[in-house]
Amino acid sequence: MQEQDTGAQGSGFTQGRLSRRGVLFAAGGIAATAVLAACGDNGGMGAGKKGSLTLWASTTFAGAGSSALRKAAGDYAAKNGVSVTVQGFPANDLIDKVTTALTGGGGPDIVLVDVSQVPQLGASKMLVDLTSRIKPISSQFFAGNIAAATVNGATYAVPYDTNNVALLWNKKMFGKAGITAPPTTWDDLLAAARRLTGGKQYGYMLGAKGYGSFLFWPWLLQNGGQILDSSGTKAAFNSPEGVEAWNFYANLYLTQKVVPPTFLGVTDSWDQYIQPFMTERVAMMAIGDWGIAPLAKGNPGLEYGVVPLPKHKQSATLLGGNSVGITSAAKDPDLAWGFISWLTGAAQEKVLQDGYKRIPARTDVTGSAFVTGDPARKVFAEQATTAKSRPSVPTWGDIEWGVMADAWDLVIQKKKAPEKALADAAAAATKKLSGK
Amino acid sequence: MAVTHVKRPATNRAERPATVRRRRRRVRPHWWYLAPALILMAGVLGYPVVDAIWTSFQHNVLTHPDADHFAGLDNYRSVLTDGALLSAVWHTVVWGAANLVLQLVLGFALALLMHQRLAGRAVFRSVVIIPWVVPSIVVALVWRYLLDPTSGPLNQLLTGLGIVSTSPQWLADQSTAMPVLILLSTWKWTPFVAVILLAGLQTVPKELHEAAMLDGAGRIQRLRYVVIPGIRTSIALAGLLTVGYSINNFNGIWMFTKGGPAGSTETLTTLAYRYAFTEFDLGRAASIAMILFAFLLITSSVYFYVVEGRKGSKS
Repeated sequence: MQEQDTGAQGSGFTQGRLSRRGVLFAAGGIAATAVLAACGDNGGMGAGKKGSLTLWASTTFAGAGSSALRKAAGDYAAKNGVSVTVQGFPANDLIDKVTTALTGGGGPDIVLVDVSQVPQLGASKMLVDLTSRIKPISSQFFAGNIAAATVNGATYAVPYDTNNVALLWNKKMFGKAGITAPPTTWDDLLAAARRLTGGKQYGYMLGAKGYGSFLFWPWLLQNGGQILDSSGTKAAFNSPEGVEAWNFYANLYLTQKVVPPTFLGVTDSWDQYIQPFMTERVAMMAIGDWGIAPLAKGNPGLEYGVVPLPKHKQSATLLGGNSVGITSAAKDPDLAWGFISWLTGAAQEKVLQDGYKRIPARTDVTGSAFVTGDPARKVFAEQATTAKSRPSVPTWGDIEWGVMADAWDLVIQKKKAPEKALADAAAAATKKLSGK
Repeated sequence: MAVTHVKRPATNRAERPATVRRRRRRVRPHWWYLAPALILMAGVLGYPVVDAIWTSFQHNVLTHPDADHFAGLDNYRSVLTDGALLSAVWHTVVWGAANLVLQLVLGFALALLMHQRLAGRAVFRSVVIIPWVVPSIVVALVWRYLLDPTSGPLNQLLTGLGIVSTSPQWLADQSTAMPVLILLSTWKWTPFVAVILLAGLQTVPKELHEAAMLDGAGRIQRLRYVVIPGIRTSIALAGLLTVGYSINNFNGIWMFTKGGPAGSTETLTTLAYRYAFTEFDLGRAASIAMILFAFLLITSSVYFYVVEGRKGSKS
């Protein structure tokens, strides 16, 4: 799933800085696309001595005026004489912008994107094959993050941060309901959620659209199911295990009613998803470490714990993160590689840690004080070695955010029975995977 | 002209072909002066259209960069057999028609109000056009906040007054999403229609009103027999622009629902966008755009035919 912007401002369009380009773009139509593609490449007017680079990232990382990433770019320029211009786009629009600019012949030299989008960009040859450059350093990163950026044997991006999904539970609400410990199994979770639901309070949180499909995968894996078959050409999530998991997941809302109906509006940002938990209207939610900083900002006094997701037949969670790649528009890939390898190196881990409270995708982070000194981070870092990355197939974005998001939408809008929606989605996904 | 020719002496008649030729030659330089602008326009307007038409016949999927080839009508066949297209066309029709009717009716009412000699008319006129001049993104931000199911003022008011017991999910419920979007779009664009109609109203001569009054025409009769015929051209223009703008209005949908929930607000523009940016399939996206193009061409031709036809029969 694209990691959505997590700047905490409540409503969907959280980014105060939706650029003029963004608005223009939304003006829609194919014609507008061409015009924008043409102006995509004038962002990199840096005046470095040895050269200049442009980096596009979501506003989560790029920030508005200043950000840790911009500061790091400044440090690099001061040290190496290569200026790096950082440009931010709303997380939901980033890939559209990158695609438009690159197919139009312009665009940035470097992109920082959610790793689940790397296969699509790599297969489209919008990213440069970095296999030979990454190979010597690949052991420094979590294997899952490298695998997620590898499609058909070619690796297209260097891992930046790593994340995975865990369960957050509200200690105060649990205490009031007389529940002493967070759930460790599906049955525990359902029982707790039911006890925690009453009046305007609900036990568990879900998301709509792509947020719903993204958060379904751990349930599938926990029930022993698989997303795709081993060849990566056929959907496997419609297995008996998949159907059982899908039903359990959907019924949290449909029949058990332990989910606030307002989750139907969680279509645009993680902020929308986090809000009920932050305001203590929901007692539990599954999310990655990108939810931690907004919670701390929005409700500093919130007492919550972080534990691994409840297990069923087995425990499992989903691995993701952000990765840095060099685009087809880069005139000097060596110059771009110089910056990328510096940014993802051990010395720059503090940029992610201090600036974003994120866990670097480097294995050496496991023993660091940053991780061991924080119980929540410890859970995430421990899971990073066992968490499963999503299939690295070029059509992944379309399957997760198109096919599965639509299927989930039909289920929660009660337009289709869960089993039928899942079966149809599997057929559609298989069709896409076969390239027809 | 014809009259002068007839009155000319016969000797001139023999020279006429030369005059015509010279006249033609004289026209030529104008085109040269216009050429830079025309070429620029052709590049900016023509090229993307031609390129989109061309793309719509190509297999052009970004994730298969080496598989581009001429695909004939495959894209069209594929989107026409996809159930998504039919519902998108239906939503586009509903969206266009509802916007047209609401905006024309409300816009006309507003224009009549703005045309009155009221105290503070200048202020009223400025206030009315505010929704139209506010950027779409700001409109989206403000309305999404106002309509937020839990923290939005609208639902707090409704639940507070006991009008509803459970908070309506305006944009997340498939039964309310489209009507809400139509109302929002009407809110934003009606001022534009009102301004066009107001300009029309100002051209209706006062004498006609006075004459009608002398003939004993009441308010309604004057509206029907003086005002509406007098601004027919403005109504036609406003209607055509409204249809065109609404059907092409991508912001008004994408910024609120992205075509959801469960496809209930998917129109041809959002569908084309999804094909291009979720599926990375530019060929099929272009074929949807072409279908939209044809759709608009037919709609506006029919519209012209109806409006012009009526004009012909009456005058």
